[in-house]
Amino acid sequence: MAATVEIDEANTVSETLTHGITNSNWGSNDSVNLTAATYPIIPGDNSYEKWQKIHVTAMGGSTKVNNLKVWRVTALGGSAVHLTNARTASYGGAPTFATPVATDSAVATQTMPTSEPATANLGIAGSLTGALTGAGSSDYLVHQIQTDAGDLVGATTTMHYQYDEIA
Amino acid sequence: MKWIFENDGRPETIERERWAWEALYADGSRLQQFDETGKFHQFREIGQGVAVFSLYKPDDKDKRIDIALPGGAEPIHLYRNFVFNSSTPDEFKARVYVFGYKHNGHTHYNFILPDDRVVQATTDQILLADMIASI
Repeated sequence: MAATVEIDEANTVSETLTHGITNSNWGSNDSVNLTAATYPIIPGDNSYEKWQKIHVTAMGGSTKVNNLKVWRVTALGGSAVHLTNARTASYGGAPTFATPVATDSAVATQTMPTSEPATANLGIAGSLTGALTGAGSSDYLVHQIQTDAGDLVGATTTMHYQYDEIA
Repeated sequence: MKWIFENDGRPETIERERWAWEALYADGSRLQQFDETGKFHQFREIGQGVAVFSLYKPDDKDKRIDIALPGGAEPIHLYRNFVFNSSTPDEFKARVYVFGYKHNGHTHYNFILPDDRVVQATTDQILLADMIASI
């Protein structure tokens, strides 16, 4: 049986954690599962940061989960960029939670890959070679959309994940 | 049929995989991931002395891949899981069965894709997402 995995998101100064998010929409508000149309991003502004984790809730008979990769697909449109802390080299370790901001993120400073990374780019316990041997979570995946004043509304993009599991 | 895994004394029901492994030892004994007594075995139980390491499809036993291991080779097995369009109505998941062996510093991998196509490589760092997305 496969390990059970969900995506969690933390919001507000209280680090309120929501398990199994139903969407990863970015917007002009620090809230989970938000409706993008309710919280549009003004061209030239940033989205609030997203602080998310890949969470293994049950190992399902497996002994290890590791080799985490995250990337997105489809163009954002205009000159918008999608930044993250995830990277395959010079990984900065596990970021300590901070209240999500809409100013330029100090944590999400690397361009989010737009194709499958060659190697792990999201750590566990602060290391890209880290592993979960029981229920637990990855490091925070921090990401943010930074738009340009000339960008148009309506762009969408989706996130992909990969993880290895040893039974 | 259900398979039971004794997880630190707590029985846990495990669903059979689409492709399961089997280890045949030099003395003729064998260990199956999902054995005929209803017990689930973890990969780490395989140990030494494997002569043939196989993956087979329990629902279609004509589909199997047997690797005759060189002496001293260590079998490799893991699942590589993909989540596409995560947290959207279009989310879908795919599981790739990765197995092979390492011997004298060299590795050999087989990747069984969701359509049962097999990709072979000497490294586990191959990019599979586009192959899977095109299925």
